[in-house]
Formats: sequence, structure tokens, C-alpha cells
Amino acid sequence: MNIDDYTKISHKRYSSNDDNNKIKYLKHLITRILISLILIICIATYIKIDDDNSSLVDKYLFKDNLKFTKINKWYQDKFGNIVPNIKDNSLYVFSNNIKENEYTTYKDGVKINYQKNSPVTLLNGGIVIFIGEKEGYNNTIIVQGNDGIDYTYGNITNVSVNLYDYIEKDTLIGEALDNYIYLILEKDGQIMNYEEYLKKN
Amino acid sequence: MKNILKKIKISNYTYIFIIICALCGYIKNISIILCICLIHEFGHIITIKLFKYEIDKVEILPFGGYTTINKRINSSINKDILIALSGIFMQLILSFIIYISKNHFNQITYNLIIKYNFIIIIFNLIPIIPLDGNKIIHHFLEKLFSYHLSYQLNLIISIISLLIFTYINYKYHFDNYFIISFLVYKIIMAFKNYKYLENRFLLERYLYNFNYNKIENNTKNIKSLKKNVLHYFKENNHYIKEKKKIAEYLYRF
Repeated sequence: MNIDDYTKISHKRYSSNDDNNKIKYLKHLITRILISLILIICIATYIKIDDDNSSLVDKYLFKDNLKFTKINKWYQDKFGNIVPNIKDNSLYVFSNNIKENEYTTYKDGVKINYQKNSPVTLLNGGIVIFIGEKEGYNNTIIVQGNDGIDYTYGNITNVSVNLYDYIEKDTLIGEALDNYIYLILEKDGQIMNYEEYLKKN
Repeated sequence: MKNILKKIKISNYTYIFIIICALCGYIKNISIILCICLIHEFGHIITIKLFKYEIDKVEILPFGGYTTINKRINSSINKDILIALSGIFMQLILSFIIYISKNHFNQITYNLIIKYNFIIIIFNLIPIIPLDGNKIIHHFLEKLFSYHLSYQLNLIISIISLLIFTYINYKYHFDNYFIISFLVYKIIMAFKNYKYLENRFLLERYLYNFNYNKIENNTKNIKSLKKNVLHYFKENNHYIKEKKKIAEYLYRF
């Protein structure tokens, strides 16, 4: 055989491969769609079987957040930092008097007296998991703290953080809408007493 | 453009790293890092296309990208330096654009982008073998010394800087060990590949006619051949072309 014959054969193979690749891609796509459909149908039937099941799905799929800070802490104990650690050395300076000790109980949490439009800072570092309206609390921010406590700040405007930002202690998250803010402390689904929390720190 | 997109390959380690970051809530940080890496590689790609070289593949690793170019070893050194610098140049442009459009960003994201950008620039300037800083130093050494000597000097520099790098980052972080093992692997590959690269360097000079401005008359050894310089050997008051000497060297067995 001549060299040209070999090149012809190889060219034929390549050209046929192109068509094969397209068919393979289509096959893979169809199988993926079918598997996802089966999964959706499985979940739908699972919800219909029992009312408890539907509440479980509702809780874990739509309401609960992943425990980001817990996983992060576990990973950092075992393997060290994930992303290069960046610490902001600049400190915020405020002229307002913040009266953390003047508070009254309100619903689940407390209502702390603040000056109107004074900046609200974080009690402990963590990750922002919710920004939006909540019934009875106006505009709220929920921060999953590094110590396992969920901090819920209510009645806040001019929010200066984004969702899923890791923020450190004493960073500014927003301004008080009126002359008070709401604060709820929650640990593992149980509400903590603000007075005890203040004593601990 | 379509061809380049086909050549971009995301390694499996990157997928694992993205999943871990998402579980720990660092999804924003990792997306910023990967975007900066892509922009860095894009700078390389633009200059490679400008000089009409071919790209073999673009690999995206968890902490940076890696482009392999398909070009002759004896091609222009100045162009190589420009290709190595273009990634960092692209990152400087990016930081300038971000600085201008400061008001559109959240303060925290702005800090993240600027600082990650800065860290990646500094990391790329470390003279360890696959990184850009090493490529720049290597090409400058090639301008001064012969191909053989510059390669050896480059290896020594990269090993010393790797030791310093490990001394600074000795703390137990999984990422550090991942990066260091990758760098060690690349240095070992550079050791292994030397003989093949040297043969390729000589064979290219034998097969093709390169147009060089510089001429050196009095070379004695085949190992003192320089890149981008035309050599003549002197023996018994006769000038001998380098192609003849290289042919003797290649067919010596």
C-alpha cells in the first residue's frame, strides 16, 4: 500500500468519528434527561405517600440552610484553609452611641434601642444566609455565626452585605430603620437568652 | 475562537475543589478566583494568536491555569517574553477596570477581587518552573548564556525558590501541599525532558533555516550554542557551518 492510501483510510475514520460523536452526545443527553425525570417523579410520589414526608422535604429542601460554618470548621481542623485567607485590618469608626444594654423582649428575641440611622455591626463573624422581609421583623439579615449561633437582625435598611458573604466581627451590615432593631439568637433550632449571651461574652 | 473553547480543559481536581468550596460557603471566592485565572489565560491566548503560534491545550487547575504552546524552540525570545508577560498585564488591566467601576461593587466583593488579583499576580511572579516569573527569567538567561547553561541555571533557581516557598508556606494547609506537589512534579518533568528538548533544539537548527541578526564566529563546543544566534565553528583556521557540526553530533552513534 502507498502512503496516500493510509492517509485516505485515516481521513475516512476521522470523518465517520464526527457523526458517531454527535450520536453519542445525543444518547448521553437523552439518558441524563430521563434519569432526572425519574428522580423528580420519585420525589413527587414520595411526598404524596405521607404528610410527614412532605413536611420533611419542605424543611430540608426549601427552608433549612446547609451548616456552612460547621462544615468549614471541620474542614479547617482537618485540612487547613481552603481559600487564601484574607483579613481586613481596617476598623470601622462610628460616632454614635450604641446602647446594647437597653432592650426589651419582643416575640422570640429582643428589641434593642438604637439611634435612628445608626450603623449596625455584627456580634460575631459568620456567613450571611438570608436577606429579605420577615413577618413582624421588617427587613432582616440572618448570619450563620462561626460559633454555631444564628444571628437574626431585624428592622434594618441600607444593607451593605451580599448573600453568602463571609464577614468578620464588627463589620457594618446596615443601618437601623427606626430607633430600635430586633435581634434573635438561635442555636440548633432553640432560641437563646440574650442576657445569658451578653454575660458569656 | 471555537477551536480555543474546545481546547480549554477543566481538570477533575477543580470540580472537587468547587464542590468543597460550595459546601463550606466559599462559592463567591472560588468563582472570583476561577474568573481571574480565566482572564489571565485569556491574555496569554491573545498574544499567542497575535504571533500566530498554535495552542495545544489550556488546563484550568484549582489555583490557576496552564497553557501549552506548540511552537519551535528556536523562535524569537522577545516574543516568548511578551507571551509570558501578557497574563499579568491582563490582570493589571482587570484591576484598573475594577478600580474605575468601584461604585458598582459591594465593599466586601471589591476587597476580595482586588486582593485575590494581587495574590495571583505575586504567585505568578515566583520563579518556579511552570510559573510565568520563571519563564521570563529563563528567557533573559537564554539571551545571556547558551541554551545548555541557561536551562541548568533555570533549574537551580527554581529549586532554590521552591525551597524558600515551602519554608514560607510550611504550615499545614491541604492547598499548600497540593500546589507544592504540583510544582515538584513539574520540576522533575523538566529534569527528565532536558535530553529530548536539547535534541529538538539541535534538530530544528539542522532542519530549518532561521534568519538571525546576530552572528558568533568563535564557538568551540556544541553545548555553547545560543538561541537566536547564528554560530560558526573555528577549526584549524577554517570556519565551519553549525549545520555540519550538528549533523556530526546527531549522527555520532
